[in-house]
Amino acid sequence: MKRPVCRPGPARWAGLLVLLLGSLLPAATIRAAEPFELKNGDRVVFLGGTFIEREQSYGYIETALTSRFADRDITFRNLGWSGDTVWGEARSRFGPPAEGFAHLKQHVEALKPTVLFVNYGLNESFAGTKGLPNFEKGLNTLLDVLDKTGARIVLITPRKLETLPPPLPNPDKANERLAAYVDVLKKAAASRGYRVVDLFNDFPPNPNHLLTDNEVHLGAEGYKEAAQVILKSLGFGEASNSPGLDALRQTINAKNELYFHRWRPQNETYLFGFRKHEQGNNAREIPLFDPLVAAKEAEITKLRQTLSHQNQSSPKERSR
Amino acid sequence: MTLAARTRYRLAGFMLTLGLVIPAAHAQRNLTVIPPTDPEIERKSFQVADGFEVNLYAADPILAKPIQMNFDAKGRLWVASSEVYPQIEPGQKANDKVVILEDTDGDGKSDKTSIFAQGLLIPTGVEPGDGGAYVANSTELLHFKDTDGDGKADSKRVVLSGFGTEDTHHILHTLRWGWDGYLYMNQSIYIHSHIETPHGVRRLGGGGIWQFRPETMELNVFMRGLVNSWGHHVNRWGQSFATDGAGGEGINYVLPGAYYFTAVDAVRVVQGLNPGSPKHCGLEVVSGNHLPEDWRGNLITNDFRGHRVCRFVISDDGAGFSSKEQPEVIKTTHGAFRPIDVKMGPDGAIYIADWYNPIIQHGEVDFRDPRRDHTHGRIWRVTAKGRPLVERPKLTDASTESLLNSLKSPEDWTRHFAKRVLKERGASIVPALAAWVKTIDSSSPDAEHQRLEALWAYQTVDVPNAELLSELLNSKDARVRAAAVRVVGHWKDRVSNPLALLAPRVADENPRVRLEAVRVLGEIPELAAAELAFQALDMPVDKFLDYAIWLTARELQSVWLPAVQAGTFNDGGKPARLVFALSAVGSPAVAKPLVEALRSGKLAGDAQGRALMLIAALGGPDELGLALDLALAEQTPPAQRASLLATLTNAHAQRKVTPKGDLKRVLALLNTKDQAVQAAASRAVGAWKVAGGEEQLIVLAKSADSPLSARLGAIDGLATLNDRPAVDTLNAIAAAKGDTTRGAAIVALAAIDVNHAARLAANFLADTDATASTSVFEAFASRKSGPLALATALASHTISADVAKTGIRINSTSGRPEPKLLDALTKAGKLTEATKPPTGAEREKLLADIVAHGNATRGEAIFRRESTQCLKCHAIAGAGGQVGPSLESLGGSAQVDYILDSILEPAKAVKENFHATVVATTDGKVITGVKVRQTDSDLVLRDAEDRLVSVPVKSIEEQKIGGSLMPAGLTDPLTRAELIDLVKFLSELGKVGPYSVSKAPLARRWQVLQPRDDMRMHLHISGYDFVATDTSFVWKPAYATVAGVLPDADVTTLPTPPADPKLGMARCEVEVTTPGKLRFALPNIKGLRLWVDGIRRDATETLDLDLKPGMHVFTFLLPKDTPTSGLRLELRDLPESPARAQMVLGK
Repeated sequence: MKRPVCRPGPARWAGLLVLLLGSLLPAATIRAAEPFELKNGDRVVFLGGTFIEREQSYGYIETALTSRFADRDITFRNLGWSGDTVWGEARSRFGPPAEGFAHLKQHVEALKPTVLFVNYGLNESFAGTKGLPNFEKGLNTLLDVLDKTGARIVLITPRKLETLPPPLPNPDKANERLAAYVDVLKKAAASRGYRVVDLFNDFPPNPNHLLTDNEVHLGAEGYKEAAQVILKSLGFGEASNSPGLDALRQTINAKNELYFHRWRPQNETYLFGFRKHEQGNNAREIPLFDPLVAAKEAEITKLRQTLSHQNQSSPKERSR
Repeated sequence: MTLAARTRYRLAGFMLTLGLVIPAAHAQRNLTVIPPTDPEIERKSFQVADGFEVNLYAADPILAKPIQMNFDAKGRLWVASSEVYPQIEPGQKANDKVVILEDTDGDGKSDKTSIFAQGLLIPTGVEPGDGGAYVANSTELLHFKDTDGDGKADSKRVVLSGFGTEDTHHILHTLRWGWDGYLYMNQSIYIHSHIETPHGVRRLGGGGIWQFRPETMELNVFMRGLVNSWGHHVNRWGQSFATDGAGGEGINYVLPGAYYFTAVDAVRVVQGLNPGSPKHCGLEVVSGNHLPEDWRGNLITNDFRGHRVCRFVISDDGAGFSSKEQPEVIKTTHGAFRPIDVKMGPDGAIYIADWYNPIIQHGEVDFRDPRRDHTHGRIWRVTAKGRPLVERPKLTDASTESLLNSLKSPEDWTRHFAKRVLKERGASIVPALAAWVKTIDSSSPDAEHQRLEALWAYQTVDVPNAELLSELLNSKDARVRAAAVRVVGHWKDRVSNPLALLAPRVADENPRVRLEAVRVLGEIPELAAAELAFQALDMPVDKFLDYAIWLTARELQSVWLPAVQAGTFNDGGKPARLVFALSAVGSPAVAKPLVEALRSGKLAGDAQGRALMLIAALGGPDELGLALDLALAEQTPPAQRASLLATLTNAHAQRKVTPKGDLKRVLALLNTKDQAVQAAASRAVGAWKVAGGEEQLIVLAKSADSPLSARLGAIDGLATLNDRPAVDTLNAIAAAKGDTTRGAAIVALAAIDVNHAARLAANFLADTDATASTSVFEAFASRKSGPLALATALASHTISADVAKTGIRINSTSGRPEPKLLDALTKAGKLTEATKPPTGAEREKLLADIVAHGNATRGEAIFRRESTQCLKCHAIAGAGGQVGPSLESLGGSAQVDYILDSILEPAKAVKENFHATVVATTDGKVITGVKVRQTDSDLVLRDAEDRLVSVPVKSIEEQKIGGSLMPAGLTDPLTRAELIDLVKFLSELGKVGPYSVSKAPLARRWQVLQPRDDMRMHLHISGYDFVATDTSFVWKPAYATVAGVLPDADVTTLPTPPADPKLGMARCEVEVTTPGKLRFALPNIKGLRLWVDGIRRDATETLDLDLKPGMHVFTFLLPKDTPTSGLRLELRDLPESPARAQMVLGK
């Protein structure tokens, strides 16, 4: 038996639209219009696939943001996982793909983020046009979940694939597919009032200045430039190039490595998984990474405070 | 002897003493004799193959904990090593290393060490290449380069990332270049990898081998499965083999794209070539002039648990291979010798990486166990005494012409590295290569192989050569054709008309060429490719080829199935092709086409039967109606009628589909003479609620004169009907004392009203025996509220001790033991409380007594006792139950404390892959077993009774991991002395000595004829010949001892006619895969009589038989009035014969 459907007439439609406009749009517009900045006490979480995951060992983006707000106490956590998608596919471990999404949610929520940088769309884009509706649905489900954390969300679009000579594939088709996925990302961001860092358009590949060796993944130089693009796009000006920066970056990377052992420890099967009755006693070691992460963060604080003093003493440097 | 050396030996002696003294002080450490770490002491302990010797190439402190090693073209040995394994400690700096060892003066010892890379986290693989080396480093595949030539890497690049790390002895490993220019890499069972490439994301959950081309970033899965495959190598003709560090099937022939043991989503797997083997690590096909001729082409791997370096001989067996183990290369009782990798060296010697550790595994033994060694490691070098070494080739500076000439070398090492150097020179070598091909002397016996090397050289530099390819596809050597076919797959987008190239090879005279062609077709998603692949069914199909066609049929189903449905599929007038393809897919979509094929009248014999079973399993009402017609037809053989009816009943239970047509016709079968048909018809009548059937079922169920199986069928039928008259009947039977179907009626009622049934069960259990109680206990264990209901009902009852023990065993292996039921059974059976496992000093004393006083000979006898039940679930060398892990190398890997704990408290540590899975289904059942496989549609479990249970995924409500299926308290009936002997025996299994499983292919799984009341009369009238063929006799499983003998005590004495001597009968099976002459050795022939497939043969010490493919039964009659040395049957090599066979193992 079919349920009776109540079809709204034209008048009702109009009413509904007014309601929608009244309740949603202004809020969205307000959020986008607010000047975006990182605040004292912010907990920034990076979420995505390989682009995010590898940032934790290069550290340029995190370093640029840290030094830009060197006077503020901001902590960063990287939850990148290679091969991930809006469905959290790479995080499913032994379970079905749906479990991956549950893990993603769990990991994000546990960190109580106030700012989320989210980078998805590249891996999904290989499904082409017929995968678009599914992506849009998955993206919105993800964003609904992330939105509930109350964090300010920034969507970072994937960058275009670079064209490298054969035998690597010609990426033109992949980029065409990706463009459609970037549109979906931007549409979702617009309707929700999120900021977008458009690496697809604002960080285009340059054949005379290659930043990848496989068309897709950036190396050190690439992350350095990506950091510049991100800062600029968020209205933060240019990244600092002060001499103390490399020490800061090394410390940030060391912190990230420790945090990686904390949230993605090896031997998870034995520590927390279905064989924890055997080696689960050793799981007690894992929280012992927390004080080590905290110690590194204390070092980071010292280093950024030094930077902050330098910044204050040479305001020109900062505005440059 | 120098002073330093003397001190070292004295120290070693001191440590030996310590090895005996420390234990007394620290009892926990007593459990392992920690051997002295002096390499010379270790070396002297080696028992080396005749004609060979071993020297130390490198040792700690220059390397610690080697994991994988590979040579480079300069002959330097690269070693990945980890001191951090198994788990980084908080605050510890990940500083694992890749070291390069070099023997600059050619004396067989490394004299130069460079630390190439450090700061790594558990690097489990290294493979030099592309101007540096690839390193597997936990989640990442890295490439390091040494740009200034100082031996230290100065640039690092992440090549791939996203490899899983759920278990650090499963992470990315076994890096190897193939002959074809691909980098092969393995991962193991717990790993889930998600890798981004410019071609898209590649995912692999579970074990498998990756195939990767760095310059194109193409990443594919070459095969799936195996538990922990730390060995992979390619033979001279491009065929891949793999070993498994946690599986028990020895050498695995890698069929491209195939699924192996444990592969996720596997519907069907390819089995290894040596079932019942210990686990192996590393693999190298050895070759070259330094080795004696009979060693060339052998496969060397390591039984790291048993401290042995093993050797196998591979030979052709139809489309696949057979493999036979040879005497060891090295064996020792040195408890820290852990050979884990093996490679040929530039000098033609064999190099062995020795991980050196008394403790292996980190699942079962604590990560932080102080006995773990983190600092030692050795590389050993094995040479043939008195044979000249190979001159170490100088390749990196050689001219391209000279490199090409090296492709003629008899040493795989030289050819491989010549190609690697050519690869680094790139496509510029192509003109020289083209010229070189022309110089190949066709009269040389190696000419075809040299052309194949040229083809691989083209592939390595990634320049297709269609002309050479086409020439080799028509080579006179089948091995070359097979290899060339695979290249068609790699170049399919770059050569014109690959299908035309493959077509003649699908019909090739050689089965392996056909197999390769069928597998390449699986990569070409076109209807024509599928139709072509199915043509391989027109020629003989062995198990390997059958698998290949089946896999290709499934891979290509999206292109050919729609064509079948649209009526445009071309089966070449051979409907058997279509039936094969449709049964490979096994989805409901195939039912209709199968009916069409049946209607066409072209299906006959086997194909028809197969089609009907599929239709019954998958079809809708119309298709099921057709299957019913056949089940009802008089001319259908009874066995097929019964299985069709059972499948149709199942279709109703699982899919709620009922056959179309007049169901009343089935009533006629309730009176048929065949018991199986009668029983199946009874169940069908119940399932379909056939009008007028109930009265007949009631009569049948109640009639004590009806055959038991028919009554059981009727009871099941009534249970499904589940109305008043049915339930009344079941109640009456359930209360009828002495009725043989009483238990079955209670089981049936348990599904209807569990509390009511529990009350009936309590009465029943009070006056029945252990055997009859089993099914009742199982019925309650498999219902959610069953255990509690039974516990309540048992409150005021007394049952026999044996019945109570049966109930306790079933409760404890149910995956969710109910403590109240345990209490109730203990009380009702008047049992004393379960023996508590000893703790503290008592346990330490027990362990010390096992080591000091245990007697393994007596222990084996206890192990083999039927009442101990060990063999019911555990196999040794493949013979025995399959529920628990096989035990042939237990002593080599597990410490005595671990073995004792596992017996006394099975839930304490469970071997990987043997955790129980507990499933709750939508119809209120709870099913427990070890997961065998899971697909989209079905979960298959092996339950504690060694039965395979298939659960439709749709019916699963909840699924979780339980503990062990092994019941606690199994050894309660043993005396302390018996327990000591049993553990001693288990701790000797797999160690060098009498309890190391022999490599000879021996009959290990036997069946022993059981006495029967009418046997004496039968034997008197008909003699013994008919026993071998009569199927009505009951045979009970029996297993050979570790030494491979079925003791005569295990052969039951039969009630023979008074005039005859006392006798017993036993039989075993041989599976022949390639027909021909086979030789068997039968050492103890005194008084033996033998039948092969029911035909009398003379029992001679050497028995040569010409056998056809398939199963062959060897039945023996042996005297029982005087003790004999038992039965021993061994399959021997007959070098000139092509025949291949293996002894059938299992439960």
